[in-house]
Amino acid sequence: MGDEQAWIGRARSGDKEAFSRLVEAYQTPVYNLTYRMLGNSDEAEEAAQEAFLRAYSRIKQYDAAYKFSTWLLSITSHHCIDRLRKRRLTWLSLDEPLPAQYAAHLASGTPGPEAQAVRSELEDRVQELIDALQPDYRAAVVLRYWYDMSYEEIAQAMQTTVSAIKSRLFRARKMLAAAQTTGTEMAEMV
Amino acid sequence: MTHEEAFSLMMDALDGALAPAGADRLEQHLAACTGCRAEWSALQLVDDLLAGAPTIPAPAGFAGRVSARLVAASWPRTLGALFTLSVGSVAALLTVAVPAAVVLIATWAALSQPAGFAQLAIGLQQLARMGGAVLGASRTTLRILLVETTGSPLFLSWAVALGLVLAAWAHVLGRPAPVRVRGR
Repeated sequence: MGDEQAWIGRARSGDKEAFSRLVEAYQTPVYNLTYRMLGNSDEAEEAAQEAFLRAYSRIKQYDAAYKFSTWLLSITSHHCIDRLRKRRLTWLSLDEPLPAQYAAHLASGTPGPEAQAVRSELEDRVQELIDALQPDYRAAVVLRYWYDMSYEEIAQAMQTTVSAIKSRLFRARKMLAAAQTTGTEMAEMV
Repeated sequence: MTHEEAFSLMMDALDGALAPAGADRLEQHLAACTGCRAEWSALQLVDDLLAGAPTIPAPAGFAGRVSARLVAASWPRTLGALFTLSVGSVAALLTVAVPAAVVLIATWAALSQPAGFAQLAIGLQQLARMGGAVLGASRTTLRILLVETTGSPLFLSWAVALGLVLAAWAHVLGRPAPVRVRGR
């Protein structure tokens, strides 16, 4: 932590080498967030790079009273939300039946003979569930589950209120549970 | 207990914030309500899936690529500063060197003539007149530019267009292209 504050202090003075140390320390949390938010590795890398560049250009605005990781993940999640909004994709509606392949994924409760393949399927399943959420809900879910952030920290990172975050997580979990139920029912019909 | 109240208790349970009294109430409701029981199962399954999902590590060389972009982002400014410094230095040098060379040449030429000092005085007078003429012309040009033309719509349009072009150019130079890598 002492090192981190020193790197931040030097980076504030324009020391790129010091900021590179921060990049090394936080590259995985930032990349994981962009990957979970955006769902593909190419765009995740580009977004993670951009998030670090934005953090560097705004580092003088960082308030040391808060955790640096929360500040950095806040920049990252906002950047991802902006990207998702610009995509203008047709989102997979949770109210509609899920594709049969997805439904089969959801229903597979027991591991298959190839552990690696099963793990990959599980990861795909998790990503598909997250991808079905709208950007604000997605960010709240990812920050809650992968970063173990409290409601207060998520609210701080997303620059909103604790009650708004509670509401988003409440609705997101409800949607995910509905998707899970629908997927299982479809798989049983297949 | 309504379904919404039950769902709220389920949220608390998932966050590890459910008091024992609430847990008892939820348990009683789940025992009697098939729909909420199914929803609770689905919620727990999703919660387990998300909680067990791995963190995806940054790809190899990621930090290096960010550092490269940091350096690339600062290049246009550095180049701009170097260009300005170079032009300024050359201009300053010329401002001092040219009059000095003229004075030296005139002095040397004057001293090598029989009536050297008289001619030197004449040369210096001519130099002073030339300087005065240059200053006068500059002042007139500046006055025309600042006073007479700035009021014209044509000049204002030109100045705005020039400003926009310069701003766009600076914006383009200030945005480094992302370093792309092959997908994993």
